[in-house]
Amino acid sequence: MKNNRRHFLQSAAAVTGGALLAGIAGSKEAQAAVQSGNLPPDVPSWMKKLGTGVEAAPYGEPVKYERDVIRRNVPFLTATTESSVSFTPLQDLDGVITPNGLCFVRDHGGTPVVDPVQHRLMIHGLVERPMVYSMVDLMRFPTESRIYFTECAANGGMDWRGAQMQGVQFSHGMVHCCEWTGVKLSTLMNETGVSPKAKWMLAEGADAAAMTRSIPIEKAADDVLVAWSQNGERLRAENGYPLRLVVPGWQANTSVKWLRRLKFGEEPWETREETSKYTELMADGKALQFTWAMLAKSVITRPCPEKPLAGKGFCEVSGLAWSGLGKVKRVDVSFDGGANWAPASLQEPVLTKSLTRFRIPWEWNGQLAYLQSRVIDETGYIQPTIVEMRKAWGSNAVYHKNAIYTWRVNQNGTVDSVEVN
Amino acid sequence: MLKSISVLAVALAGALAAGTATAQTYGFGQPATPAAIAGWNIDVNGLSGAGLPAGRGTVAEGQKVYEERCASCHGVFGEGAGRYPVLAGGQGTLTADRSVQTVGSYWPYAPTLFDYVRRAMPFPAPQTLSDDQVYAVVAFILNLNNIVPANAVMDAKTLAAVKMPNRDGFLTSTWTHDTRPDLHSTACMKNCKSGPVQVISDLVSLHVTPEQTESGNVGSQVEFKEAPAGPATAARPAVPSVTFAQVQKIIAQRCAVCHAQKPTQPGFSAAPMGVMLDTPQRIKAAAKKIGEQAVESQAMPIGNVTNMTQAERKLLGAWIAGGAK
Ligand code: HEC
Ligand code: HEC
Repeated sequence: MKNNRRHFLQSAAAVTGGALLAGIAGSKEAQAAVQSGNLPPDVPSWMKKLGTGVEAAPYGEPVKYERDVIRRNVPFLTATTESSVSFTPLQDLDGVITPNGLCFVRDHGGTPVVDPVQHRLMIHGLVERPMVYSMVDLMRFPTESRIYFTECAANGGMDWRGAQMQGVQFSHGMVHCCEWTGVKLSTLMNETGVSPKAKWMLAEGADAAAMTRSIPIEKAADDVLVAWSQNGERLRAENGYPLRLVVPGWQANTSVKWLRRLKFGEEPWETREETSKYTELMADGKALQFTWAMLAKSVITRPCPEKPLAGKGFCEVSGLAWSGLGKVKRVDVSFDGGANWAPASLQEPVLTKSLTRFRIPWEWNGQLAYLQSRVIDETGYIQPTIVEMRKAWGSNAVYHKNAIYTWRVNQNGTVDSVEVN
Repeated sequence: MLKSISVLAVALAGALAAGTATAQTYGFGQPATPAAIAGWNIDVNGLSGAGLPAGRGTVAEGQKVYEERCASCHGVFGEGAGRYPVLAGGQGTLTADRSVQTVGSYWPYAPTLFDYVRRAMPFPAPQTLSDDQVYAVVAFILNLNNIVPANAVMDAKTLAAVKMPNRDGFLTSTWTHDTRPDLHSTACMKNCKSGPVQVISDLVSLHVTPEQTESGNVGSQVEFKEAPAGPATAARPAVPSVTFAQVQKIIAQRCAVCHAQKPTQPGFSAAPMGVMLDTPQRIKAAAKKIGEQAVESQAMPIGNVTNMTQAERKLLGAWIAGGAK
């Protein structure tokens, strides 16, 4: 399995590496632009005829020139596409909100298309009033809209043994950040009269995996949402339509999609997804269980292997930082592989458990450079180095790799994924 | 008076459990009937076995279910076909550099297996096995792992009593950044490195450095200032170019003795599994499979009877990475 990943990533590197360099100045496209008759002093052709009517696209799509901005998967990584993952193209995104069509997808039994009229949420177990809710029922409750990141616990996992991912889409693309709208889970807990004896909640999906995770009652009652909207519109099928859990800051697997059942009980259920998977085998042969929070992580998204430097001189280095424990407090950037650091500026507003955009100006002198970012969150937690992590975690870990990541900027402006001491 | 205090206490406790101070309820939705709950209430507690249904199944019955409904993906012996999960073996590997995590080596609780198979397997048709069939196939998988004997019968009682080998292998806690083990970081700002920056893992050099270790990428240490850089304008190829002639030679020598229309390897009368690697077209068309079998899993050549070298595997990998042309 791990062998497969390694080899896939080398081939992915080869493919994207070639394609992107064709895109910089001097390329065929750039030459075509010069001959197009659309550059000054000529009047561009699109000013000399009418455009399309307003009804041409009742549901808008990105223009054709953006057709490379898509989710991508790693065919060699998994046996089937139904239990697999497709990554967010972080290299192409600005700000912190992930457009709905680009949110990474991690399914365990394919994406079901659920009829909202026939969908039900059942709440039972240690409750006074076991209930069944239709979507219409749920939407009558008081609602909330919140911006949260959602990150798969395995994000970055393919790099545990060494740099393998030639591209930020694959190294960090199992994260997205959306504005979610729904009813607070605590409202439904109050509504059904959860017993004081209940210490755990089981959340179950209506997909072919009937995905199940146990969530402790404190978290359930805190900030969890039962959501039907994502960035203002109804959820996409692949992100849980018509109803999903949003468990802020925790392994995305707990944010059960196509949510159909919540059961309250005294003990965790010890499901396959919290024993066989989503646990971390340490060097001593013992495994950590219930490692829910996604600890602070950051990555530079520009430049990156997919977005090489266009030339010497000014370059705005920009990236994303987040923490499952709260707000991002500070992001430092190094241009020399971690020897010296400078604080980046953070784009306001900085929200709790949300992606945060950082930026720092850089004068590139055309020399080899090693770019890194390091986040510190409001709890004081500092993003660790890969050397520190590997020493503490051993070689068998899959999940929760949040180490500082290094991009080597080569003298020709291309960018490679490497690890430094 | 007494009564109203206790009522208040109960209400308060409820509100606390729900994490909210408001007592307001809205009354939307329908009560869940016992019949409705019974149909959806499929969870089994992995630790206690609570929720295990009536029914039973033997290892022998399970073998039949397994061979019909599971083996195509998970392999006749649970070894896993291709990248499908391995279900058996791996015991004793949890401290190895590359652990094999299976039901037998890693899963802490037996009832979890019932819960998971009933809700999610067989992968293309979940929730189509009867409870008896699930008990039987669970018995078979446990037997494949030498956890229960061949005459075992699994039911709600016997399954909950099975003690898994890795039962005590999990440290359960609410991990925070204080308890997770990666906490030695400091936010140094100036002159944070004692020596020069060294690349300890370099994806681009994976194929080019011949003296690489098996894991492929540790050990090539390049000094910061002296690291090689490509020409100023042209792109540096991510992988060295491999000619098809090199590939064809390797395949002819290491694979085609079996994988040909007329195999020359003694004991083979036809190409195994119909995979023929005896013409350029066939080799190119099978590039992906060649990568899977000879570079990734290294299951081929079978038993490495043709003595394929690691360098040859790397070369095939580079050829595939470069587009298998
Ligand atoms: C078409 C292929 C296929 C068939 C047939 C199939 N499975 Fe699976 N099985 C999978 C895949 C894929 C997964 C991983 C699913 C995931 O994690 O998202 C899996 C996972 C499992 C696991 C969990 C492995 C682990 O270590 O976590 C068990 C146990 C299992 N299957 C048992 C069975 C049984 C029993 C049957 C027959 C009744 C069966 N499977 C039939 C594809 C298959
Ligand atoms: C000694 C004979 C022999 C040699 C040499 C050999 N193979 Fe095989 N190969 C087999 C057999 C037998 C099978 C069927 C395996 C099975 O039934 O699991 C097979 C199966 C395969 C398959 C199909 C696997 C699948 O699951 O679809 C591929 C692909 C393959 N071999 C590639 C290669 C390559 C590439 C080489 C050379 C590097 C090679 N083989 C060398 C005997 C051989």
